[in-house]
Amino acid sequence: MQVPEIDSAAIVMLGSFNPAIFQPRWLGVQKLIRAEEAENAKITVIQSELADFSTEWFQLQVLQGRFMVTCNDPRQYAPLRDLAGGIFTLLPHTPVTRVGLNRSFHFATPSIESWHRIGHRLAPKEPWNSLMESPGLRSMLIQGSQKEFADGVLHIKVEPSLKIGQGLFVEVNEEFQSAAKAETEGAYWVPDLLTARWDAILKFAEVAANHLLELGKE
Amino acid sequence: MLGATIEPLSMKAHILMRRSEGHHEGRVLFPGLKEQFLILQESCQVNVARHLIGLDGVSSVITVGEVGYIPQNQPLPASLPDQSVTKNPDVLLRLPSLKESKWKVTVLQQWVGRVERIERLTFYAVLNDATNPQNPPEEVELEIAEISPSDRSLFIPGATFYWSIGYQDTPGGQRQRVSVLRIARHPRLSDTDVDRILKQADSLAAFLEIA
Repeated sequence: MQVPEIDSAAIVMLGSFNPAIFQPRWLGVQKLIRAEEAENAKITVIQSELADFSTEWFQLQVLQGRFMVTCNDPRQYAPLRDLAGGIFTLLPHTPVTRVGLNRSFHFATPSIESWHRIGHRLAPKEPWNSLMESPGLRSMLIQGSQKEFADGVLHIKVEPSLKIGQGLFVEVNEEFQSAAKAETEGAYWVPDLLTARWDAILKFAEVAANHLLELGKE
Repeated sequence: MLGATIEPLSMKAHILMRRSEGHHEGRVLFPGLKEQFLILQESCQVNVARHLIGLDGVSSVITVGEVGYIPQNQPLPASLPDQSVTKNPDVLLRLPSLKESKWKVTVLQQWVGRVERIERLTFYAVLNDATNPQNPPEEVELEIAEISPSDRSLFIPGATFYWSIGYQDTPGGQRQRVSVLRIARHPRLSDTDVDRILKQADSLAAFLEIA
């Protein structure tokens, strides 16, 4: 795969959370992060309604209905999975109803022609030319499921990058829902899901991004 | 992504977070959009919404995607303006945007290793190639000095570790070749969990004996 200029991954969950629990010191005591990382974490806010702090390699934000841990260092994606899985192994009764596994890239394209070609191939402009001047692809979101696994809902988003000149932004998201009907089922299913699917979605995101970049070739 | 449900939050503050920094020339984009995250009080509830303001001053609100990725890019201004959001001006707390890495990291090779045995200055490990999983596992000898002091308490035979080699480009333009080794951290199993696993093992063993 072409090396992206920016590579990010995130694990997002919906449910009912107690943000005040999510403190770096607690993660350190539980040995989910290093003691030094816990001590040196940059805490923005930790209150009953929300928690937000970051370490060298991840950022954690928790609202009462949403948990999110993000990472911009591809060397740390496996520890990111372990961190999220570890948290909910320790908090198995936390109601988690949905989980989203995410990876996104910003790529530089070799030329403006290549950049436009990707947009034209994904969204041919012929149907739009009679409606407007200079139609251009602003955003495209495609939904489906992975060919190997049908249990998740897959989304791929393509946009011009806002961070890289003549850049391509690709975002891959796979979303899973708790099989349990009751929200009180907890988070028992989350660590297993992360173990089973995290590496696969990271790899799939690379394949998808590579496929889209190939559209820029003549 | 999932439908955009606004998450209720019982909070008495209004929280605002700015994200993107406007347009870049030469792009096929709506120029001049500023993105803000607002947590606004509405009666007893607080809602989270992403708030977009166009160059023309017209505001629009789109809801936060749910388990979708926190947007690294400009979101679509997809929904109609929500006047209830734009009317409330108080800003008591500002949240930071998600951090962006200062370094560009290029991973050349990644392995997942398992510590087999530890000697005085070195240790032996079995490495599984995470970059090319079709490659067979290989046993290697590494120096114990590679292990971060803060990971030493977890460094025992059987421990799993992640090892990456790659380039790290600093903001000053310096490329560094970096090896990063990190011991995997998993929560300690509770006695209940251990009992449950042992019971499962016993029942599986009993089943195999019968079969």
